Amino acid sequence: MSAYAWVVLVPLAGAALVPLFALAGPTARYTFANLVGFATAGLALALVPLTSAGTGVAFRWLPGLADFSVFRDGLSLFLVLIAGCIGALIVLYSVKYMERERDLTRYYSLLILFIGAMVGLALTSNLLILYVFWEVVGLCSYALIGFFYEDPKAARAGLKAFLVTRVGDVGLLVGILTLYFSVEPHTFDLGRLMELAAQGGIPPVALATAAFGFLFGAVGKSAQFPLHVWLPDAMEAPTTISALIHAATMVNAGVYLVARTSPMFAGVPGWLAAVAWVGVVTAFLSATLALVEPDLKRLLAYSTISQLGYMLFSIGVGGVLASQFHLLSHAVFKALLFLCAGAVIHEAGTRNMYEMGGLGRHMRVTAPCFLVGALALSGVPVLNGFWSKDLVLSAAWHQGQYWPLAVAVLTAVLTAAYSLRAYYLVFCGRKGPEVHEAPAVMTGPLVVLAVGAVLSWLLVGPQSRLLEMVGYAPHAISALELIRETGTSPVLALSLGALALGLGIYAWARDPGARVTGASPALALVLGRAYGFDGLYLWVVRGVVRAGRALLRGLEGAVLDAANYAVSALTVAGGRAGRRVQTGDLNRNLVGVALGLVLMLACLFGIFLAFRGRGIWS
Amino acid sequence: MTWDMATLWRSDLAAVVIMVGLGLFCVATQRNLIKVLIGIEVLARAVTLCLVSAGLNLDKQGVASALTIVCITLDAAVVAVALALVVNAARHYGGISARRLTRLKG
Repeated sequence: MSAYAWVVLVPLAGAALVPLFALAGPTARYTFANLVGFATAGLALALVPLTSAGTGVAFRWLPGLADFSVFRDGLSLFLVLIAGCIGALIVLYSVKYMERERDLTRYYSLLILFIGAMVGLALTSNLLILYVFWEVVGLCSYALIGFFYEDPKAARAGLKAFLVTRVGDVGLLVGILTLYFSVEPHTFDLGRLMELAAQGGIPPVALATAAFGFLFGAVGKSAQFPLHVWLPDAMEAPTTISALIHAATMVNAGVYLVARTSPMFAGVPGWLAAVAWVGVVTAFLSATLALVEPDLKRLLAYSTISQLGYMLFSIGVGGVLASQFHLLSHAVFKALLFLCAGAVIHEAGTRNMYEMGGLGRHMRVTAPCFLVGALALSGVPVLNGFWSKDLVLSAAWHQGQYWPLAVAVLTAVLTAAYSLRAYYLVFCGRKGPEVHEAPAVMTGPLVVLAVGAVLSWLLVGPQSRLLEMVGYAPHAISALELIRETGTSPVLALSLGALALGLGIYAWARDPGARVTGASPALALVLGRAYGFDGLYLWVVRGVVRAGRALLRGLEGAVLDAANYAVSALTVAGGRAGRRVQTGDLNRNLVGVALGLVLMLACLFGIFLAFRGRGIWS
Repeated sequence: MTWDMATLWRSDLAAVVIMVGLGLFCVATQRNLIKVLIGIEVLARAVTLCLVSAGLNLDKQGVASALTIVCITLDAAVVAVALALVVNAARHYGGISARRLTRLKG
């Protein structure tokens, strides 16, 4: 079990030690950070042969209450691998990308802590520890999104991410505590709770409360409708952090939690439907927003929200394997897209896609890599996104969930359209700024991830086998079987049709969003305001602040302050009255002494009378 | 009425009470610092008398005598210091009336 402990302890200790190595200079700092990052990735890979069904205790922390017990199954393993390996690539990429920034000790320390917390979150089977890591992940995201804290936009974005996800976290905490107190003896161990739930040992009301609480927590963390508003703003972070949040950590946590608990909560009436509809509505809404977004990183953020919607949708229609498979694909191609975007922004000096254009001629490595990512996102065959999206759609098809499936297919059309739009605006077309290709330490991870985007679907064999072992997948399928199943399924027509429609839109207009909003000012207004969620939340928050201010005035001014004034007035009046006693006259003082003595004697006498005969004198 | 120990004790207590009353009266009313000091001395004598009388009554004359002697000795020291203070106060304020000593800071 010690590997399970090390894979968490190494990054946590590494995060604490970064400042120490920073004393030896910037080179030692990033060397150490990379060592820790790759050691974590190596330890994550070392977990592969240990994987089996069931749980185990990695080390005892608070015995009986919060032991660091771990899930040893494939569901956790893949998340740990994604966090560890993609995290390591991002640490490497940061060396060059961030070299001119200040405060890199804080940066590397939080980066590694982020990875470590995500690994712990994915591994632990103890809900209390899961919640702790869940919050550490939230804290790291806050601190890293607001890394350039001197920029008020970044500071606000960090705060927004923190507060919005906190709303979801309340749901998660309620869910955890409900589960804890609903069983006898109380336990935080998720494995045990799932066994109990399967035996009907948890009251239905408690189970339903926990189910929707967990879903709400996941909605906050995975940026789903209606708590998705923090993710686009989080693009104020350094691009490396965006890549980390979108691909390796943070947003995957919510999807993972829902997938992990889905066997437990599947019996709760309406829960699966809620998961599916939340996912698919989110996927559709954010895809429409991605069509009109001028900011490259925000476009990618909307696409992440959309793809996470697919994952939740997939869980909602019973396809946990499909959701995790899509999570893996998405992690790879989204990390690729973000790191490409990072290279582009690094060189072009802007995030507005309308100020770019024609960069493909200069960036001979980044442009094809971005294209691979965009095509994988669109679901072009043989790239990983194609297989996983197809699996998601066929999960819904086999369950007969045609209405959400229709929305999902429509989203796939839009996905292809906005992916190609982004590629076109950045790399093709008219002459843009003169740029150079990014240095090798930045393009290196791009190439690795591009190869991953082409090949990662081959992992479906081990992934489905591992998930089948713990009951999250109906049966194991090898890559060959995946090809056969996909090729002979009617769903293929859906996904290829969606792709063809998306390409058709691209053929009709390179920037379809601009053309549509140009024709319809009303739509332009609605999409420009992102359906008004920000406005609504701002209105609510302002209302709360205003009510708070009124309360402040009413309670603080009229009651608390008034009480303080009364006390001080009383004191002053008492002082004025009592001042007459202080004559300084020797005779009066002596009389006072004598009277005091008399008083003391009277008191003693009173005590004597009160306790006489009770045997305390002898 | 026989003059047994208890009676003696009671009459001594009466004397003590009278002396305390006199002393307090003196201390409370006299403006002259010397007279105030005399009042304090009367109070001290009342305490001494109380000690002697209690020693007789409780048949602990030895202890009472020792305490009385200590009391008298200390009292001499107290009077010496007090008189020195009075002399200084008189020099400082130009008189020995307690009325002059009403300021907190000399």
